[in-house]
Amino acid sequence: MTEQNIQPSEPKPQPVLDLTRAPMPNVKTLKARYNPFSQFGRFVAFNYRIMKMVVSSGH
Amino acid sequence: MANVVVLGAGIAGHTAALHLRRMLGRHHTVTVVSPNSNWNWIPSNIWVGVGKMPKTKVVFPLAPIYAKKGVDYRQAKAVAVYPQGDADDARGAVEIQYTGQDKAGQTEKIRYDYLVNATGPKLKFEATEGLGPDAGNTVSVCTADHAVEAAEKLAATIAKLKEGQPQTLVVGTGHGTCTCEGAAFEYTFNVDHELREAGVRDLATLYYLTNEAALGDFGVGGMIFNQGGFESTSELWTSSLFRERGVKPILGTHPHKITSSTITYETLDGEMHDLDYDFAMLLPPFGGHPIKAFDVAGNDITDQVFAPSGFMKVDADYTPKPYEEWRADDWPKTYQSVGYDNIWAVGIAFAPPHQISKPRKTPNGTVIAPAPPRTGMPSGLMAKIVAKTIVDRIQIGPKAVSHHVSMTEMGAVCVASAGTGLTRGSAAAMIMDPVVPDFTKYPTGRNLATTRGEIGLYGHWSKLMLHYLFIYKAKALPGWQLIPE
Repeated sequence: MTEQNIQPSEPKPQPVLDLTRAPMPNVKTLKARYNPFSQFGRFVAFNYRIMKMVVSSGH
Repeated sequence: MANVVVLGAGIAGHTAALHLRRMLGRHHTVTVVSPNSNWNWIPSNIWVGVGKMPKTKVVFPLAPIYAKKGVDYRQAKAVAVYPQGDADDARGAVEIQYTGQDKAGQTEKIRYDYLVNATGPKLKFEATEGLGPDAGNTVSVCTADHAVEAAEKLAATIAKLKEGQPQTLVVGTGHGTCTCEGAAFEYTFNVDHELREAGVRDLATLYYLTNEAALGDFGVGGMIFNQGGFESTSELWTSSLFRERGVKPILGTHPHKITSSTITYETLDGEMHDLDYDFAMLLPPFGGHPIKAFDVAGNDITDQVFAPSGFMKVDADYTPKPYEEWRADDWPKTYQSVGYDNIWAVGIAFAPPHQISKPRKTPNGTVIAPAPPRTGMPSGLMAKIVAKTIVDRIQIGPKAVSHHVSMTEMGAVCVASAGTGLTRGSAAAMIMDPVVPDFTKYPTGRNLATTRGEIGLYGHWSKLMLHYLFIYKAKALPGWQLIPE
């Protein structure tokens, strides 16, 4: 996964991780990440999970 | 009457002190020894470090809170502990050196019946030549003051970009044994967010220089999630974010030397590299504070009480063994000191039995091993159970059973900011349950029903909510004890 990337602004090559095979989020996913309505639902679900974990571990 | 002394007033020490004071009658004393006059909500230093939050919103003075609650506060640092007492008194004692309260430099020996060591980390910038604010090359966000300086230097870098000068920015870990990669990850994406907001992202090259061998490791060996009917990994998920934002990751690194313009680092394959930079925020490795220990005759017993790293040895299994043989049971449960049943170490102050993430060595013998994180939620929880144990010892007697919680049982939440703003902010929100994987209990090491990782605007809302909740709790405002650790 490692390649030597040489760019004009970088005089010294760096062993930067090759990310070309990493999944690129599509427009729909990127929009969903900022949609306040769906994000509010996820906010509630995330905090519910935290509270469930807290209660079950006897915090 | 019992005297309880708490060393440190960070998340662990402050939590322990507040719970002890709440649960113990006023005829018992609770004394906090901390060299700092302020409490700092460290997770929000990230926002101070990009100039999005003033320092005043992440710190507040400790003295008024302790005065209100009846906690005896000494602005001092612990320099030595006498767990067996000394020639004058059989009770244990701590030698402290004042750093404030108009007594700076003065020393005093204070006696305790119960001692909680929650001294947190010593920031070991000296471990890498040229690392850290004092050397004048790289910045840090480990303290609020460091974060203020980071924000100033970042603003200067952005100003140069606005003038059309290309700049190279590096964020990451300044040593092969650093922990808190999550903080470096957060700062990386907050810097990226700021560069985009300033309209100069295309002129900037942003590197993430880390000791992790894989993205998404975070010092906990990465995570496996159930996502869309498949088992997905934190590596895949974070790689996607790096690709989307155009951040260049360099993995498995150990910086050897840093000058005002170049970071010289070694990678896991043993190769050496020079990276020229204009702005760099690199975290230091952590060590324990240099506290000595002496027996009743004054002989140095530091190596019996503390590990070579300076962290206190507790009820963990420290037997050296290969990575493959490490077990969940090796991790401590009561945090009671080795050999002394009235001393505990919580939060970063206890010596972990081993790394969670697999330690590696380069062909040159350089150790590149992310250290296990022990901050935030786990710190608070350990502090609370130790406070309960002490209260039971005082109220029931020395035979009272210790409360216990292991990092192999407790889950933790990590919300890594990726940019601020109520409508344009985002964060990677993660739940890892448990923090230390237990492969005897779960095939993937963690509970797939609760372990989660997502990115979105709601993550930013969650981080902001935690900011206000925990500052409210730390100020001991009405109902503070109802907010979980």
